[in-house]
Amino acid sequence: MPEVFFVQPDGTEQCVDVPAGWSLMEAARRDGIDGIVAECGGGAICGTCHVHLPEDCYSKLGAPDFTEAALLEIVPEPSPTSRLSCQVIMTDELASMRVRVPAEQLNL
Amino acid sequence: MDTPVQRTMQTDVLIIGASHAGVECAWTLRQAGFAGRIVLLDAQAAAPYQRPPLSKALLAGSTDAQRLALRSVETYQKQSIEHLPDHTVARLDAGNRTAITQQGLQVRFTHCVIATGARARCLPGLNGAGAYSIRTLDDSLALQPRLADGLRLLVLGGGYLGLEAASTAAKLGARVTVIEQTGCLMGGKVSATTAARLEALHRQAGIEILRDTGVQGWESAPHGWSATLADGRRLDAEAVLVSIGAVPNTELAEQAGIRCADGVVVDASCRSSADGIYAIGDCASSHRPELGRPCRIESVQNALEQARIAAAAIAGTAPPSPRPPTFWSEQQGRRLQIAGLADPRQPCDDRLTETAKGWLVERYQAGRLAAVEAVDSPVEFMQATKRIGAGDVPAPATLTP
Repeated sequence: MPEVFFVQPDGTEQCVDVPAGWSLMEAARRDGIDGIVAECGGGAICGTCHVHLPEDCYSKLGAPDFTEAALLEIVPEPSPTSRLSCQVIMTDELASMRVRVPAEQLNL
Repeated sequence: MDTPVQRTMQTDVLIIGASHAGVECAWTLRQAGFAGRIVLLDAQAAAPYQRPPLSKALLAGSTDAQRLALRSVETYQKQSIEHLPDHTVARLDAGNRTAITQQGLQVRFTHCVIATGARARCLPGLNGAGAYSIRTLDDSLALQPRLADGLRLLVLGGGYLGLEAASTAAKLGARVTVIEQTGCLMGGKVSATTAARLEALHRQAGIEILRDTGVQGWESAPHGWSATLADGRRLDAEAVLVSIGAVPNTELAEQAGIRCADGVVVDASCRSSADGIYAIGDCASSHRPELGRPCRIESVQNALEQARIAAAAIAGTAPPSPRPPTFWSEQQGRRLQIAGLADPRQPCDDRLTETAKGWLVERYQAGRLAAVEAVDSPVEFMQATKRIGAGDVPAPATLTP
């Protein structure tokens, strides 16, 4: 099964098995990864599962839709490779990537 | 009748109920550094799962039960959270701080968190084959395979759940009629603008919506069910979804002598009237300063919030900073977000703003922003939500047409 490494702000890494077809958020939630709050459960409306992808992986994905792109403009610590992990669907191409979890998620 | 005790255990925290609230409470205790024993009793056999998809993605068949798990079994083990499935608490003894399950397990506790949730409200005479509700994983999995090929589905109750399920069913090809006994969809909890616009979308999708319509009687028929409306009309359906609200599971607390009034009554720290016993989530009723009265709030966000508040009280850490309750729904592919509580007994001054993909309604009461609704506008939602409680009613130029 493809794996993804979640890197915390302090540098610690956790390896997560992500079945193909699952979102990164779903697997991170299942394994209780710190910093992936995912309050809306995958609706791309709360902006609390923000991660930074490696550049090569980011470019393999389609562009974020309007709503996700708008949320990514207001999340803390945005970067050019920011995505909501609930919108990143696992494929073999993304296997073994390292995604960075920000220190803070969007909060009302 | 007393359940015979077959084995006993002692725990620092006993959490009764393992849905969003119970699981989050256990989790937050560990995150706060709480090192004591945590036992999470779960009446259900399946691993704790997310509820919102039960009327959406799971019902649509676009996800599976495995993907709904809140945490994996290994994750509970890693955090030393003892999750015991298939354990229904039969009796709670508040004075002696013990609980006993139907399976004969007696648990002595220092702290107890009641997170028993709510169950679907039933209609007498409307049960058995062809009658459905959606509250549990099994409920959703029972209805899902039937939603195809022109199934005639009656949805009784036009609240969030009924409209979400109607939306999902219509998309799968079911012929859907929603019967709502009041004049308002979504229980009058949203503005007239949002209710009317979503209703129009449902109608465009082929859903028939009957508001202000009572049902005089239900008859089981060979094909399914037959409803007689108040005006004498008859409606036949192969399946009926009863979505007329939820009833809090407070029986355990009531029998233990804990104060209940449409929910276990709790204070701002989620403490019940019994020492060492807390209540959180759908089964808890706490004072809402916005409304000036106690109220139960059924939403995932509230369940998580109260779980964190109770965990902080138990662990002796600082509670999370208060924030307005939020809700969300998905209907006809549109995402509705709501924050704050508008008092349904008071008039609302609604201000509508069109956005790039949807709309935003700011709801003012007594000159203050009481609630915000947004459809497909999460950024506008976030920004407006931060202003809840503030005055400054915008100029009448932006009045809802």
